[in-house]
Amino acid sequence: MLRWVWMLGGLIVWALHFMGVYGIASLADVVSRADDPPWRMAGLAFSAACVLAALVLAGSAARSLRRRRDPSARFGDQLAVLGAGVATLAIVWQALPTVIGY
Amino acid sequence: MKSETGFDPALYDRFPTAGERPEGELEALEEVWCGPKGWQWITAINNNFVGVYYVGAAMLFFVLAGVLAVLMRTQLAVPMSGFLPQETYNQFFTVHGTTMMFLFAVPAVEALGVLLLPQMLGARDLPFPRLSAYAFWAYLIGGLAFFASLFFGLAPNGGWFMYPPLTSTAWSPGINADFWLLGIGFIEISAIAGAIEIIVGVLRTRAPGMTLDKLPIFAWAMLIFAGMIIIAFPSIILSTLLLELERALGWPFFDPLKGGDPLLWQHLFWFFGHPEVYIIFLPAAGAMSTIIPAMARTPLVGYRLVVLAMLATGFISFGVWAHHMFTTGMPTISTSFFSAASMAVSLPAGVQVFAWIATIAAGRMRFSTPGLFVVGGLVIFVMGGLTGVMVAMVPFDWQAHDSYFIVAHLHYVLIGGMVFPMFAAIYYWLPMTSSRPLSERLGKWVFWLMFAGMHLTFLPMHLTGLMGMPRRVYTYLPDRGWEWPNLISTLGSFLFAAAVLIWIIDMIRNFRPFGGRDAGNVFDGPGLEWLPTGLYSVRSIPVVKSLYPLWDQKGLARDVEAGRYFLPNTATGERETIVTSTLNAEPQYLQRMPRPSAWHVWAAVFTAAFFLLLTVKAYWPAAISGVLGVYCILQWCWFLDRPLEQVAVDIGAGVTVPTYAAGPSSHGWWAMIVTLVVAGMVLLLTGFSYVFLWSRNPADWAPPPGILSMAWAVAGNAAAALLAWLACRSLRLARPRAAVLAAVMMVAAAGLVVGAWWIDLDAWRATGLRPEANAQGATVYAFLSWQGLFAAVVALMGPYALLRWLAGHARADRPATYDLIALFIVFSAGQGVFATLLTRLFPGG
Repeated sequence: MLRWVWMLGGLIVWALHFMGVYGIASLADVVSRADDPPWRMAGLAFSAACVLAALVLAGSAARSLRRRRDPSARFGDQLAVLGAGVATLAIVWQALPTVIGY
Repeated sequence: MKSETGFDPALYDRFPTAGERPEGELEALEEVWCGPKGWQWITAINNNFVGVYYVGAAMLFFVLAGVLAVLMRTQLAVPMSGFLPQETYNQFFTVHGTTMMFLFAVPAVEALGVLLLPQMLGARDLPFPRLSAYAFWAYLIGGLAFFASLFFGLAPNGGWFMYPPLTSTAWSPGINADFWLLGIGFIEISAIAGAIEIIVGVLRTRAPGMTLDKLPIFAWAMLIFAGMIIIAFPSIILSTLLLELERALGWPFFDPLKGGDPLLWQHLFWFFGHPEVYIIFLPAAGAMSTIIPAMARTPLVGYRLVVLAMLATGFISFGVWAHHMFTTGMPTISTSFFSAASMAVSLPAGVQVFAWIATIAAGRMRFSTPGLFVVGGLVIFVMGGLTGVMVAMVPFDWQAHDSYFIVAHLHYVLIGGMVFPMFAAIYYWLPMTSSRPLSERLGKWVFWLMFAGMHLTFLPMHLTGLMGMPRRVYTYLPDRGWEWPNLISTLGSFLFAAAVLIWIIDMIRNFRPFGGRDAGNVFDGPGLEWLPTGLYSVRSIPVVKSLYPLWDQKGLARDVEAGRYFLPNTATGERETIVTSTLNAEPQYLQRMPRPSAWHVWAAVFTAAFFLLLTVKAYWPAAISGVLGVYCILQWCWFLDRPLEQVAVDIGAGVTVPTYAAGPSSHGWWAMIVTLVVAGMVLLLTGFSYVFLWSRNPADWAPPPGILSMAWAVAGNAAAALLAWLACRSLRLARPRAAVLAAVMMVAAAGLVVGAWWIDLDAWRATGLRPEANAQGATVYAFLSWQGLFAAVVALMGPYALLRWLAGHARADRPATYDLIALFIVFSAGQGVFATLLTRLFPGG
């Protein structure tokens, strides 16, 4: 199970990110207004933390990939690197509405 | 290669074995896996039969829903037509959409999995063949009953997404909406049963050596598809349950006058509904990624990237549900997030499309019928994807929402992304199950008529939508410029129908399943499914060393056929398959497979009867059916978990594996975990519903009951979980009184779960809060009802555990049943604690 979490780590961070930013916006909408700057900044900070997590995962997976020779183990690492890379880009993309248009 | 389980991979070098196999071995295998005779066709469980039944039923529903589409298009051919009355039209478009989505698309791809996966993975069958058969019969009976409601004017008429308040009792007072809610909710249970089978099958019954980097792309797609069903479908089960509770008992989840909110339905529905599109698309994409390399005679370009793209699609599909709700007045920042996520979906889809184009370019593509269908599907899907990016943009969506533009977009995506690949799959894989392939000449007619008909029907709808024609209108006024596009669309639908008619004729002429032989590998496919097979699947289970074993492992078919690999015989005299590890597919144990029996069929009949009788409000007959259904399921379970006399057997070349497993290495444990994930998702979404409805009217929520009852309920559940765990530990001790102690502890654990539930229920009743009073009452009692359902199941499991002990089936060497019961009890207890704490502490009082 741990190996699966490792392979899908980047994608899991990505999923947590979109649930998190929706959650923060929804909470803000209950407390005040979702578009208020402090809440948007809270969302942005969360996005930054997720980007950092995805980058750390990508780096760890890349190091692991360099060490391994067995093709089936390398496959898992390759998925982990690619997934974390995609997640990094996707999180940045999805965070852009927080800073653009206001 | 580093071992995952302690199995020595060097043992693979013993295969293929040399020398002749003993006489009578093949005959014994054929005898054990013999086909059904007479009425046994109904009780058959072998995937070679159930898979064909399943695909056939799905295509039947495709044709039925297609007939409705043609009738609707006839009505819309000219303005102010009186061909169909308004109410009939409303029922037709609702049943058309519902049937296509729930009775054709999802079951069709699931059916394809049931049919193909065992052969593709090198297994004798999927690990729970009776579950597949149960899922099929439940789906067929429920689906036919749902469709038949049209003939009595009782069909639902609120559109395939059934938005309240239109579908609440005020606006839909009859039982039409109930047919949808109970019928579809029930059919989704069958989809989940199939998904459990597929997940465990792909993870645990792969041929030895089939590591994840050698897993066929279709199997990857089916694994992700089934995982998505497990996460998404609980949402539709919960939403249908809540709406039915509101309609039947007046619990106001969606009634704003009592603190409910119709938007809750939209959130729950689309949390299922949008992933549903990818649930349909991914297996079809997996089929495309399998068929294109075979037709182009070259490996798939970017296998790893395609796997990643499918995984990414699976993940992101759960982050875009609210793009169906852009017009509901959500905050700007929220719509922007959903818009960005929706545009991002095009990236993983684009990776797959470019991989297909690159594969076609790299190889020598054959444009026989499957080749035509994959390329045609690719073109149509890309067109639908481009309009998808358009509607992901909020300002455009505001203009196009609920217009014919959306009808055009969704049909391009679904027909290109699922229907064409499905036809490609039928033409490509049919020679595997039929003694004759389908006709190439007729197939080309089918393709070109369908391709032309599809564009003629749906391309003009972009225009009618942009010209302002709303969807779901049964007629329109003249002189709005909509006449010609509508007439062309109708003519196109006739062409499409003609294509389907020719395909049916082709099937009648050439489809010859269940015979002793098949047409063979006519397209030179590279996967294990093209090995020579019988009803036992492959004669011997090969060691897989390549992603394309038939292309790369020379002489494989000959050696497999000669029995020179794993399990060339029936090692125990029973039906059996090898269970392997999840990552490296190392042999772990031999699973005894069930033989056909009628219990799962009766269980499906009575479960379907229970739901259908509830729909027509025949409560007593429904209750009797429910009891009979439970009895059949208990009978079915009673014969499980019976170890063989042989503790370990030789599965070929001196490789010995055990014949029994319990705990995390067993297939049953995995199935229970997946089942509990489904239940956990329902719980989480109920929690979401609770918090969401609170956020609508926080001031109206009453204080919860006192803290003492909460403490008792939590303590009771915690004690139940502890006892259940101790029961399993006790059973494994192999001491004289360990088994009876385990049975008693299991009964006590069950009693504690029921007791804790009762304490919680009683405390809430004492506050005077009633479920029909307001949204708080409705959601609190929804939690209690859900936990009550689990308490009822646990109340059955406790005595069942005791009975197993009395019958001598609870022993240290056979703990699997107790493990699974304990898992269920621990989950139920945890669920009870979660519900109690959430409803007592949030928002508190």
